[in-house]
Amino acid sequence: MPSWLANALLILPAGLLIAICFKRDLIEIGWKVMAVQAAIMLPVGAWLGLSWAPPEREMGDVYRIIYAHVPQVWMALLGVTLNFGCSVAYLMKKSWTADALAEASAEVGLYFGIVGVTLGAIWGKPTWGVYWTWDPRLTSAAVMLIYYTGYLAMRRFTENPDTRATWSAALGTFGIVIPVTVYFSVVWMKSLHQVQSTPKTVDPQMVFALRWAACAFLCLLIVFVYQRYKVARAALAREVAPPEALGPAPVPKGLTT
Amino acid sequence: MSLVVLLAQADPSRVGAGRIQGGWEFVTAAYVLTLLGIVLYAASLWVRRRKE
Amino acid sequence: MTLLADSPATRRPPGLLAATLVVLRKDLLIEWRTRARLNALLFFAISTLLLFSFALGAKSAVLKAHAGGYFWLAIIFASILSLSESFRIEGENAALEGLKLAAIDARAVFIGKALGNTVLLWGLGIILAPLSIAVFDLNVMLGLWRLVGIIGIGSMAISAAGTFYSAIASNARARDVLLPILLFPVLVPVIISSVGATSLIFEGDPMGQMSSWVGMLGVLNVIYWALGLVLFPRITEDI
Repeated sequence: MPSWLANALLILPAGLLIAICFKRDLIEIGWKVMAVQAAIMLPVGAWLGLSWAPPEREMGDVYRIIYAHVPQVWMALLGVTLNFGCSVAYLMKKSWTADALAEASAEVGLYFGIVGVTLGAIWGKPTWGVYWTWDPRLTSAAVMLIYYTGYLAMRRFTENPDTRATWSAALGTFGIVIPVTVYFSVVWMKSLHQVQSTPKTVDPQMVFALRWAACAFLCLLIVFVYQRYKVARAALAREVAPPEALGPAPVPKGLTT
Repeated sequence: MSLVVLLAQADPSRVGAGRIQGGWEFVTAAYVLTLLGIVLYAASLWVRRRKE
Repeated sequence: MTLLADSPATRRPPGLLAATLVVLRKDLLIEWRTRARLNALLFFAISTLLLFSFALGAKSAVLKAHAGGYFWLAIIFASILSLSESFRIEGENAALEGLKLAAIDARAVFIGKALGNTVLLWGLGIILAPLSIAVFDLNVMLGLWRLVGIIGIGSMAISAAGTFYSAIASNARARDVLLPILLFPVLVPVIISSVGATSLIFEGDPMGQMSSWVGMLGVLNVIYWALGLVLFPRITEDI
């Protein structure tokens, strides 16, 4: 495997994300490219993680879980950060795009977070001996999962779309504070994660496999967030739709406001 | 550090290999869970989408 | 209808401080007249403390070691009751709309309500403290004033975040479920810091850790009050 390949493939999703800022319609083609890229990179990534990468000096083969665990946790963090951005954007200028994107990124972020934390627990059992411990990172993660579950619950329980959008934006803005404060408060108590779980070796093959996996999951994130965004926009259109007699409610293509 | 090396030379059975042995069931569980999650979530998105 | 110089239409709305005091006084007056909330809070918190004792097998050594934790858990659980109630009363007789029509600044509503909740929780904590000291056989190593102070800043943090979230939760469906889900993640650092500081008060502070906990509580208060002040007007504009 040429060592530059993982970095090169990263150009596609990164490039798409930048291009969308200037020409929103590109997402219509872009997501399909991302889907194909994810469909190819994920199985290859699984092979890289399961057999191509060498065993680790201290953890043997059990460490291979990181190729699934770490990228998904990164995607969860990206999702939550995107939600924060959309929430602030909505507070500054109301737009259904920002609201739908906030809902999508919260749900996809929560999905990756749940899977990521579960994988972390599966990793913890053979390496630390326990499925769970209350160290800063894990506590912050658990708290975040509960908070964004509450965020989605609040959205489901609020019927008025305007109120729902404003309250979600407020919750999403407040939400950025939580992992920071929880993390620092637990640091005063104790810390376990850093010392024991990070592989001490920086074997280039391992770096490659991890970067490959991260790129694959990034493509998947883009696909999931965009599709979830479309679901949210369609639901919104139905909610604010005129009566049936005037024709079906239009669902905008792409990311047009 | 050197004590361990001496002991390893003298009586290997009393010194561990320095790595966690096996554990493939955890790795398999993790990768299968990842795949299952992706399939199920994608399916949920498919079911929830509405045609224009 | 002619506009006279001194008619209601031309009077300026009260300034922020005056409005805050109006809201605070209103909430405390309602509370004092019925005393329903304070009684409920008290009995709930005391019951919680006693239930903890029995759930842990009534072993005094165990209870004494973790008394700070039980104390603050009792306050937190009671705060959920208090916070839901604080916005439920606004729903009666369209009281919240009345406040908005009177051109009371939404920030004054936030500060006033949050201060009212603080007073209630602080009062609850002060009553609960001697009870806990007796039941768990505690020594107040670092002085009663410090304890009162810690209860105060802890209550302020809980109230600021709680007032913000209960404004949202009380207007959604399933409000009793929604408030804990939203509030508890935010309260985690408050619990950690308050319990840390309170435990030091009961056990002594040989390594001088109190300032770290107090500092953390101070930062939390600044963040929650500031965010609440900024975001509260937005969330109440549509109600």
